[in-house]
Amino acid sequence: MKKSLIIMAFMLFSTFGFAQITKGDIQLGGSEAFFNTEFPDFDRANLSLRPSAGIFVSDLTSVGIKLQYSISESNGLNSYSFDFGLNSRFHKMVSENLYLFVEPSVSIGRSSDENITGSDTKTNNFAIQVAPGMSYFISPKIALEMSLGSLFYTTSKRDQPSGEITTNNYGLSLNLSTVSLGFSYFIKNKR
Amino acid sequence: MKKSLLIIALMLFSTLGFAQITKGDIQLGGSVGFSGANGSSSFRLAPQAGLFVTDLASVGLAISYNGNMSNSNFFRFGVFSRFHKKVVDNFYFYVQPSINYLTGSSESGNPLGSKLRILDIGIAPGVTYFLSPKFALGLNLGSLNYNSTTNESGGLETNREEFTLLMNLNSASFNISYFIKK
Repeated sequence: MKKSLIIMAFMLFSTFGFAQITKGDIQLGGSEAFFNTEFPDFDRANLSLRPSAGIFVSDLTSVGIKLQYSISESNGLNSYSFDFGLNSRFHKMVSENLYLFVEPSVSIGRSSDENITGSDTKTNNFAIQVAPGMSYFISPKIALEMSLGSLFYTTSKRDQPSGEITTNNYGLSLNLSTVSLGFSYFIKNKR
Repeated sequence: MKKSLLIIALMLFSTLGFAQITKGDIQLGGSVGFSGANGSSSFRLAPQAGLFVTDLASVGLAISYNGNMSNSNFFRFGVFSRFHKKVVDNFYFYVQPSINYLTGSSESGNPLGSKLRILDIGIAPGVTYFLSPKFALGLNLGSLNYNSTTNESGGLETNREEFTLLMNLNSASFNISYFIKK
């Protein structure tokens, strides 16, 4: 009996003490990439940084920011883009370690592409989206992130010599068949 | 003490009874989507469902529709079966034989239009990991396929047959499925 109680206690402990989001936790994520290719008549380099951070204002809700900065160079022509986004995540706990969330976000951005003539083409971007996803805690501090689709609207205005060109995109998707995976790191609130 | 024992028993039960596939369970997956840009739009619907006829084997249907505003319509009808083997708790390996038939036509870029028919027979291994009793993460590990493609374009018919063996763990694709427990 004593032994089985210990086993039970151990099981309880291993289940309880694991991966609960609490208010004040900070979630970090993002991606960084750099590549450089050179050929005799062609070269291309790209650097992109996409950090994101969120803070839990309650046990199930976080607010955060997402930044995206990239510079690239192709045959001597430079281009860069910068995006700034705000997001919030509303979680629902499905079972131990697994959370479903809905993430509304807005972002604005600006990009600039250098032309052969030496002038720059400037583009302004705006995006608004609501995206469902799942977070699965593989340890108390590391979660696997799955994106399940989105409802989105994006608009971009491109300055051309002939005038402004506006492109609108919108869509709705729920996709369980091809899911992209990412990781995020949690700084737990010590309390 | 009695109460806490009850709670402990309940917790144990919820941990032990976790994510076992049982006969009669229904596995759902697939995708649905709509997108548009400056006056054009496209739509796709691809639900997939499997019914467990034993604790380790399921039979299922996968249908899909793809269409856009330039009168392009594609239908796919598929049947499949999955044979599972439990590796550890929450983790299953499976082999999936399937037969798919795709038919459709498109009017874009050709005044007479073009028609396409594909018959595909394949067998694909994969793994399923239960994230919770009702949600599972799946991973396809490749496939062995035979397909026969008939393309009819401007009154000209061409036929192509292909055998493919694909084993690529670097570009394996993940999917999510939802289980309706019996």
